[in-house]
Amino acid sequence: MAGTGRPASGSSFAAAATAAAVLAAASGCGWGDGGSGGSGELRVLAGSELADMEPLLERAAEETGVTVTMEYTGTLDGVEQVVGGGTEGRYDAVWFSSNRYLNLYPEAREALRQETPVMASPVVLGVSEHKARGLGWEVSKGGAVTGVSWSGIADAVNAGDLDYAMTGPAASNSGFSALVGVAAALADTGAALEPSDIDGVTDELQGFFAGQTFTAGSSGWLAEEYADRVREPEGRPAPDAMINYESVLMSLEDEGIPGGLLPVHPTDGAVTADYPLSLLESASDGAAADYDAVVEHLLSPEVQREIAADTHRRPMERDALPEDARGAFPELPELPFPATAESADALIAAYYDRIRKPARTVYVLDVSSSMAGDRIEGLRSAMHTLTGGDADSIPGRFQRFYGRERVTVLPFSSSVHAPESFEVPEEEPDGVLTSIRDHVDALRPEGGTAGYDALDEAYALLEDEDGEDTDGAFTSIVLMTDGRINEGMSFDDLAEAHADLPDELRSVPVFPVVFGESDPEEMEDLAALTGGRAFNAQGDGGASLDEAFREIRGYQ
Amino acid sequence: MRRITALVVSGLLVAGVLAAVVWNLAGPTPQRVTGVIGSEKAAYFDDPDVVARLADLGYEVEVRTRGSRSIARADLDGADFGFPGSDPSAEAFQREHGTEREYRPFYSPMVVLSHRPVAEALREAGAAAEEDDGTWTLDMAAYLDLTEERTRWRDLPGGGYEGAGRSEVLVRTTDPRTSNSAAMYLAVIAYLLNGEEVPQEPPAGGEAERIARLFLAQGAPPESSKQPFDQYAALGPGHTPLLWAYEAQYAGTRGSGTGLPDGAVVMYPAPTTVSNHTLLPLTDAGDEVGRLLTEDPELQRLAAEHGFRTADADQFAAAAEEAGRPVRAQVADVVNAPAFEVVEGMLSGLETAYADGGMPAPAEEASGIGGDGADDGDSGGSSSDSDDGGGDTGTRDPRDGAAPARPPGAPPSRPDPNPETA
Repeated sequence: MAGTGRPASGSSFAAAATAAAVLAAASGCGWGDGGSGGSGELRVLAGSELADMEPLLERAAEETGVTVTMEYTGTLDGVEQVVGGGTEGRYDAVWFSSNRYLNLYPEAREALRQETPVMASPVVLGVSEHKARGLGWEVSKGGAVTGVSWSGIADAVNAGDLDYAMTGPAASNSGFSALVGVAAALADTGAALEPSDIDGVTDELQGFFAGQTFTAGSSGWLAEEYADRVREPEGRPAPDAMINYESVLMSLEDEGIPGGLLPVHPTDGAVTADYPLSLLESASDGAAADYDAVVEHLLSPEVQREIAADTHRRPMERDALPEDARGAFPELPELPFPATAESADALIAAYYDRIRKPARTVYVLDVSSSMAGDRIEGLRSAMHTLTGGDADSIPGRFQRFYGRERVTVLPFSSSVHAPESFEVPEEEPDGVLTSIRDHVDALRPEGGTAGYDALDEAYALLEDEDGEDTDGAFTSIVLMTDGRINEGMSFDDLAEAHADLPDELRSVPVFPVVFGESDPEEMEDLAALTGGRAFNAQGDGGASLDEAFREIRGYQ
Repeated sequence: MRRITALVVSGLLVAGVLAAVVWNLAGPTPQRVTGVIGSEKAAYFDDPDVVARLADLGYEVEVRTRGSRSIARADLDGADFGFPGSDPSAEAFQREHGTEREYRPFYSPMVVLSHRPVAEALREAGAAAEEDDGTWTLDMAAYLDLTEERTRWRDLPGGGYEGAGRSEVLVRTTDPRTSNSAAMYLAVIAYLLNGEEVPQEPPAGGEAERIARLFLAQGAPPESSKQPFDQYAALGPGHTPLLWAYEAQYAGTRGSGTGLPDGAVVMYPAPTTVSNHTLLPLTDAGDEVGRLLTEDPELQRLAAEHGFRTADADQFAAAAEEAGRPVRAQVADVVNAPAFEVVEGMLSGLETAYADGGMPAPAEEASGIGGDGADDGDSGGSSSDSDDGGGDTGTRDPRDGAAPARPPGAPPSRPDPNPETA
């Protein structure tokens, strides 16, 4: 899938893409045969947050005769696929919450033929009514917080009165939109942010993002985990608030969170997702006709009304909503999105390297004998990606270990091996990144699989670790094992030990990677026990490990 | 008995209808004609009534959309005609293909779409005026002064507009690198910054920086003209206080997504420029379609309902009036687009600015772009010769500074003494 085997040089890559495009044009992508009928199937690569459109798309299929087949991906991987030409021939259209980031790349812009915004949702902070009133914020009759600016939110964070969950901006559009919006609002230049503006606003951004106590790689998962923590805290209390799409915040009540979270409509505006269904340049004429039919259906007043009612996204057809339902969607100023890839990338890098709380991760890695061969190679290559070995791919650039991050490698087989910790410096990280790579390269597979002993040890390491503010970092554990855990502690033993951990450690999520012969159910249970998420890497050979490790980066 | 007769009669009727259908199906199939067009005209060609009328006239027209800028250079794949939306693109197309024939079935002045409270704030700041016909005039020079000082909406003299948060007064445009509409904005801005003269070469230095900032400060640009229009219509004045658009997008009432928000106002920039939709035939069939679009009353009427101005000014006025959308009867204050090479030079300067994320590079690189085609002398040594100095337009080939021709009924161009716009 995305990101693998990407040529190292951007320019040779662009040349290859151009050559492919010319070929396609020459080999009879000529004028259609005059028929305007499509094949009846529109293949769409979509952001995972659009899964809630499936019921509406089923209806669309009945009424238009066009079946929309959605395949889901993360935002960055999606962009990478479009930029790299990976969508050509495989999909007819892409559908992400926004094309703004994608459009910063010329190759991606050229890959799109037509973009039609289908609905809209601004990315804002959501807070409980109780909390809002406690902060002295005004709650409107429509159930939203008004009269508060982003710097007002920053003030509440600085006073220690507010913490929140937000997705990682390198992995998820909602986190990215929030970062862009907050930076634009706090920089307060009135115009799109330029790289030179970032230094001046770093202090304020540090203040704002000190309030981010929980992160994830997907806005949907963030909301689910948030809801779980509200319902059953079990030592992992939910933060006071969450930054997410307004639509996700408004849906929480349907998810059984009494009162939900009230969207804060900032006086200085927000960045709005407009969900453009986008036809690819490579699509056939038939697919283009199908696309037209689907777009027309989605934009019809009835469907727009249903979108608003079912998904809480704002309709694009202003007349679709009855007068009295419009109050839920007050108009907001739009904060400007950076005009260049350079600005956007500099902002993301600053966020991870300097602004947000650093990550602290223990990689608990299986080096039992079954890992020999492709599997250990896959593990090494996954760690190579994380140490900056794939700097020319978009995900590679943003999924590497960041400045100030602490990475501990804890290998295990029949017994737990000696841990090795690395601290990535803010400036010139290359030396340390190389050391991490060398260290993993030197791991040799042998022996059995005492995974829970190793996990127990990982918690002990975190407990011993400096003791200095554990609050000041995003701490997590990654457990990669390729077989059933058959030596040392059992899952039940670990669960018991986990229950006895102090709260700070109980809230450290474990991200198990389901790989080889490891037990998927047990790994899911482990994720649920610790508030983490299991990632599947049971694809072909070791390549899927790379993907799983990269995806986990969004949660760290 | 009577019943049987009735059955027989209706049976005959059915047979007659069937025969008619079969006869129709077997009738002469329309000739297929292919064209590459700017996307702003896609809705017109997609309109079932347009399709039906062309079919009646014996043609089935298949179109493919491209940025106006690339139409001239695109591999047209054997298309019968090109149909760009600006004079510089048309000029480049003709040069590229060595053709001369052209049809100008309709045109559309560029406007700024806004919202009443925004327009009123601009009026208080002395940058806009409401006219008796219900339209507004936006003083582009005053607007440029506001952007020079990076004035924010809330800080506008005379009270300001609070609904746009803390953002700067800026017109939202499409992406100048790919879209014709933004290139039209560029033409107006460059004219004003060049001391109210159509520039003869791409601006450099501080002027180029100012132009780049007007685009870059907007942030990530939308690709096509439809997307920001949809956002303007759906997301309110705070989201898009001012939108650079084709008048046709505002005046056109056929097709989906043509609804306007409550309190929408149309502002005619002073000066503005005109998007001249120019059909350039490459084959006889393309030529015939160009002629029909220009001469067939039904196709002209449909164009007017799509918001385009046609030779018959009343047609457009009537369509706009029926839709309850005030328009300006005569758009007087119009500047011509610069020559293709100059536009290209400015656009590649902007390309560099977007790529660098900072200041635009000096514009000298630009000169090679338009000039690599076989220059058979008549287009003059336009672009780069530095000894060719800036000011004296009189000695130049007229094509360098001005559009080849105006469409029927199109307004006169600046500089034309024009008392109306003060």
